[in-house]
Amino acid sequence: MTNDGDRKRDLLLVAVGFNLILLQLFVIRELALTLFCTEIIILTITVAYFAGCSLGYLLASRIDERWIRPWLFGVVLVHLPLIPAVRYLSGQLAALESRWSGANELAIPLVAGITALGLTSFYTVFLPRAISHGGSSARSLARCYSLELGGAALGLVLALSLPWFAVLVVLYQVALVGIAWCLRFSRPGLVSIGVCAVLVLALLPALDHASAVSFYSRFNGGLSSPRIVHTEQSPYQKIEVIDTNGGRTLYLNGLELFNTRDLEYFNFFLSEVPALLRPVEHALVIGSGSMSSLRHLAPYADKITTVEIDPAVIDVSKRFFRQWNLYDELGDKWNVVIDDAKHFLSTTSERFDLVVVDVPAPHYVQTGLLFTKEFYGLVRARLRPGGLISVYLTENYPANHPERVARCRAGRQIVAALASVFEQLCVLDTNHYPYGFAIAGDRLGFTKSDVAAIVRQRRGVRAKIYSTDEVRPTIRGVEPASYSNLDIVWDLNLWFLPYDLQQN
Amino acid sequence: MTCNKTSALHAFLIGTWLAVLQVVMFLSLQMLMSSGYQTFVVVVLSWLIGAGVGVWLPAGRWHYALLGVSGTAPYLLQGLLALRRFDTSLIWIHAVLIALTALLAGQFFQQERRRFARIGTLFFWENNGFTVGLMIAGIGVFLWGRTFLLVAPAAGFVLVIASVMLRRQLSPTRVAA
Repeated sequence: MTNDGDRKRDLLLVAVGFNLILLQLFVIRELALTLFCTEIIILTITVAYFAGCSLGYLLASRIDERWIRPWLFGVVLVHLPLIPAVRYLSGQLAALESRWSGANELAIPLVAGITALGLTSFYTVFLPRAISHGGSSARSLARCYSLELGGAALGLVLALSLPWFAVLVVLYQVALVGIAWCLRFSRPGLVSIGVCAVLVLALLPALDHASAVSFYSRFNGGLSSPRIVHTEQSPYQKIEVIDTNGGRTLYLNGLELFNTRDLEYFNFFLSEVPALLRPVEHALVIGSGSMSSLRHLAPYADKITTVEIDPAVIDVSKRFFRQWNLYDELGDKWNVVIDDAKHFLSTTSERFDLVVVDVPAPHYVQTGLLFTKEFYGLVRARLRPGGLISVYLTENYPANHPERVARCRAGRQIVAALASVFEQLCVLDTNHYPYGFAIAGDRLGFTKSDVAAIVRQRRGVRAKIYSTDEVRPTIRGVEPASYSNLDIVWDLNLWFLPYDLQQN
Repeated sequence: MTCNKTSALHAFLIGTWLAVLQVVMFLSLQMLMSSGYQTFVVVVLSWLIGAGVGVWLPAGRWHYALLGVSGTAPYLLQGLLALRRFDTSLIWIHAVLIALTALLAGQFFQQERRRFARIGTLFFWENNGFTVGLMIAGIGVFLWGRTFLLVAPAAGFVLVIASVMLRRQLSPTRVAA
């Protein structure tokens, strides 16, 4: 028969598992984006998270019972405000950088250390203690461990099915109060914990907003007078829309994806130039961001399909970037499919005249896969005869300078991937951006001078254009980006380390 | 090296291997099925269920059978993906394969709990291994991509078996014999 103490122990383990998975799902992301959220940084914070778990296991049998209660008080008070605090501290460290070189770099060990010591170690103290309390028997181990896993499963399902992130934050604090109850706090103790939890929840939105303003003005991008217009957590990423005096910017996981100041020409090169090179009955845009490529494609395409993995990004683009993407003027011409681009391309029966790959840079393996020869193979299978693919390269591509282009490791691997799939390609290198652009197909049906004529018509734009014959020598001996060669992700990640976000 | 140290090493290597297997199966699905968050949910949920069931399995022969299952299931998953790319209707079969792999993640604690004076120490070493495994898998995928996904499960299996054999070599009964 289960007594009250056993029931409380069981509930405690469920609450522990629940909060641990929420930390893993959201706090790793939040902390990682204060350090420019690339795959290496996410991995670093994840490792710190698990190192914190190890610390908890180590402390489990060593820490005295009477220390756990004050620790819990600290956890209730500090856990959630820790995220804005770290973000604020990152901003302050960046401000110190002018006087103390290396202040920025301090942020990595600082955030990783806080994650390990402050966040997860508390939770993992309980499982070994509960198992030992049950005599370390096989049954005690099985029961306690599966209860904690059950809590984690519950947290995972709720986290990814509840549409309101704020509810999860509240549930997190409720679970902490529940832990206090299971630890048999006295009534005054429980009331104090409850008051602290409510206080933290009440102050959190203001703290979060203030720290985000500090972070974006001092650390990430050095924006002048940023105003946080919208913040949203989707299952994939944190989406932020920020206004400054210079315009509106869309951030995904703290990485700038679109701004209304100087990305106009980016869409011209990526979407409009290829659309002017051949008649486009049906165009496919992979990825959306602000959906601003729609405006550039719409005058030349009869039908446009957008494939985007994250519906929240589409929603944000419709709400906050409509004057830049003009999507509501497209009517029946445009439709959107929520799907992974690889899955969509391999399952659709539709064929396209133009495929525009407008996805974020390969900071992650997930996006890196969309710059590979395997992915381009999927695109090729869905192109109509004479169809084109348009992609951006992750760096400038000065094909006529052998020494400079030799240093473009990632760019050459992407071009090599295109060249391994398509018969012909054309590379555009512009001094407006740190990117090159490539248009590829089995039969291009245009010449360099056709492209040059289009570029010349756009005032203020300049680009060097390279034909297949000029590009092929630059990729001789280069291994194409592929599922077996994700150097492009590695290189881009390393490029941001050590980081100086104010310059990026 | 004492038997205690080899037990810690074995727990560490099991943790490392399990992390590598989890990452390998997740990324294989990302590459050849979908990068949708549903893939992540299926992987994590199946893993939690597998480990939760596995911890109820008794110590003994189960353990060696599960070592074999965990060494095989990731390759079955990759083979199925190679045969039926982007076929999301097979996600349930993949989920079962992940859960089968994760049975070891739970049963392992039953198998090893008597070898450690404190259960927290067992969790400590296994979790340290898991942490290192995440690092190895993360960097391995960066550097070798799909090649890593194909090689790492087998390499991890060999290391785990080697640690089992090392511990047998050093066990007191064997030394006495």
